[in-house]
Amino acid sequence: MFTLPLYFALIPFVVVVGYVALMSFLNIVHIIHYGATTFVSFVVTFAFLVGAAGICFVTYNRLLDTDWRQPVELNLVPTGFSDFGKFNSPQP
Amino acid sequence: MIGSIAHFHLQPDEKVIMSLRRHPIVFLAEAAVIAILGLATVLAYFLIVWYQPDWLTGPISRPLLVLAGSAYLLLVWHFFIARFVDFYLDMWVLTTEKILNVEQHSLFSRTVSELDLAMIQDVTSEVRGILPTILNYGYVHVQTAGEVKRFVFEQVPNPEAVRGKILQLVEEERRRTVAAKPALDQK
Repeated sequence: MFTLPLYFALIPFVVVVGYVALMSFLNIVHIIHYGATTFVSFVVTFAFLVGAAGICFVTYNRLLDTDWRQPVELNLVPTGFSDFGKFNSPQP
Repeated sequence: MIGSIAHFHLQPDEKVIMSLRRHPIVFLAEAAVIAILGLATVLAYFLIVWYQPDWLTGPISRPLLVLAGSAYLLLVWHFFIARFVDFYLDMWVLTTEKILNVEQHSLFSRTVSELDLAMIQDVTSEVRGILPTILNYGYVHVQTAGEVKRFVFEQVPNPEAVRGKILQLVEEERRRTVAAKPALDQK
């Protein structure tokens, strides 16, 4: 068993966000380069950006009160899925 | 529409007759699947509320669930714009001289090909299925002389009318060619 601070969980999340941001940017560049002058592409691009911003905003809001420094105990031997919600900081 | 066509090099006297994309229902069907994938997070939320409510209050499980749900939704949302780009950048342009076929296979794979109307031998339209019949969309196959490969307009609205327009333009092109030939012979 070993412990890691909770902020380590942000690493895969940041990787996903970076990937989505990069690919979305490239997709929007494609739309602008090949057909931006249409109303439809503008509406869809705008809706996409609003949706992505909304997801990020809600995520940020939900995680505001999280203590990212609290340690997480990781047990390499599985103890059962139902223990997931009972994680607590290790007692000093 | 004009912005898309501006990328193609047309002859000075060449006019765009029509530009076609797949029928919007094709993208709407994909968008419905993406919406279902997105709504799976709502289902997952209620399953957790019913079976494992502790997960939503745990000091570690809650942020982990929020991060996982957010990452999943962002990926699904990205899938939406990727599918839209694929749908929107596929197009067929019919001009007085040729047919342009633009296919966006993936983000980094795009094919643009063109076919002179004079090369066309046969045009076939095809509507197959219940939804295509109701909404009147389907395929238009353009067979060229001496070529095994055919140009295919995929899932375009009103394929019968498109076929008729192509045949009309081919006929006009042939008349122009025949009319221009004596003048060239005299030179």
